[in-house]
Amino acid sequence: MNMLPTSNSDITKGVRLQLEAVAVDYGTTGRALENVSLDIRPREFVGVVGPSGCGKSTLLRVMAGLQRPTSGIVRLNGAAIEVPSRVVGMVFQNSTLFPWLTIEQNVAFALRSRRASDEAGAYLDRVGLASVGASFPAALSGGMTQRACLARALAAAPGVLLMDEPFSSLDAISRSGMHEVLLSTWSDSCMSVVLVTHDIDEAVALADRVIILGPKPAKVMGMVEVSLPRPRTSRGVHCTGFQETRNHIARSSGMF
Amino acid sequence: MTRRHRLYALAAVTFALVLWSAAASDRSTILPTPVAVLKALWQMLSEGILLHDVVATLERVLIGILVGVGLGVFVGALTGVSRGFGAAIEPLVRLIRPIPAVALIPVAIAWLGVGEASKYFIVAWAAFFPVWVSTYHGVRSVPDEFIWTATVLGADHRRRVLSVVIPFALREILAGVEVSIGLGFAASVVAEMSGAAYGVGFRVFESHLVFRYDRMFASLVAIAALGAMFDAFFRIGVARMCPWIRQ
Repeated sequence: MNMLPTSNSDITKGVRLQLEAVAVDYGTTGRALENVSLDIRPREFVGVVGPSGCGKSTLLRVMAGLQRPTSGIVRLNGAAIEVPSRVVGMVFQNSTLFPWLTIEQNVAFALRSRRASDEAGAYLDRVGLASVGASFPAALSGGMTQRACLARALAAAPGVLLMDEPFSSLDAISRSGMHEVLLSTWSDSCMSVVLVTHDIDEAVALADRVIILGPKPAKVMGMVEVSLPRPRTSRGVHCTGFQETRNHIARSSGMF
Repeated sequence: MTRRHRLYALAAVTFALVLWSAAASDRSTILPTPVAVLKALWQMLSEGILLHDVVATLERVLIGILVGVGLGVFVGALTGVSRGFGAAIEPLVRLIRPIPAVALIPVAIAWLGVGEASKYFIVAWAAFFPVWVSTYHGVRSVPDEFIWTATVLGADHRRRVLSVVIPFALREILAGVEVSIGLGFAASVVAEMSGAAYGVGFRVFESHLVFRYDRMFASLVAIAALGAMFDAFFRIGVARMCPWIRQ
């Protein structure tokens, strides 16, 4: 397997992303986020759970610098984020692969080097898609599409990777495969991951810490440290610690 | 198109020819038989008239469509991408859009003369609006997620427009171009009828004036063949250059 190129110096150090009293107002539809303060530490894997429509996607957009908060501040390594940057990557729920580019060209879009094509191949190899680099996105299954999206996001060498329910449309097998790819990529790098999901089991299986958001306007209702040992296998889902953590999150979020 | 679909298409053409043959007769002056039309086509080809007419019409259509489509894509992209430019230009374009190209023939002749320029203008006018509409809507319909993705991957505004917005809109733009080709042909033929010394449209009109209905129909067949050929080349070009659209 080829080694992943690391073009962004930030990723080698890890990145700290902080939100301080962030609020977002949408004029007609009301307030989406209310006084949200978070601290995403370098190399941390954070899960975010909350009811549908509570403002989780808005939270990620604010973290990425794609949307300015109405009040509050977002800091990246201490500096306020004014505009989006490659340091904060993002994977969306729906495929955002550009249909007019091949899978390899999609990944190469994130690369700046002259050897983008070779490097893109390395990222595709990392997510098990080396053989479909010449295909167009329409030819890929849902699981493969999300893998390609992940490869492209990783190609930008982000310090923080924000993921907005990226596995929600996948079947159980594809989802499990994506979990493995994500965890191995995360453990091999210095990036932090913020995964928004409505699946508490998924959050507990993957994250170091789970942030619980309340109903709209979203505010942080609680944070649960997941102290289960890694690697967390599918058998571990049935262990007492997993179930206790899961139930604690479910009770805190009001989903029980 | 499957083999069965090709057979259906062939059957439909055959049926139309049979209907035409049944309705026409050798003695009819206003509707000649398909055989008489074929003979006229052959005669026009041997005399060199047909080739001359076809080349002239093709030149007018090609130049007019290139200008109209080029401007349509440019203005459509600008009005779609730039809210300010869109706010200023869109009402004006929508105001003049209902003016048919045919109604502008006298204006074009008055401004540009009876030469080629007025015909290019008429064809370009007809070709501009469908492409402007399709480009405008294509550009405006780019999902936010695509723009956001390009942004977090480090693309600046210029790269987002050129590498994401325009390619995304291409499918709609090409649909508009397909409509423009048809309208451009129609406009060219009408412009030729209104003032030209040669061209397929001119030949239809001239044949009518001298009661050569076989030649008139032969010219109509030539127009249909030219249009179909243009359309086929366009589709083949799109399939080759934009393979993802087929998928």
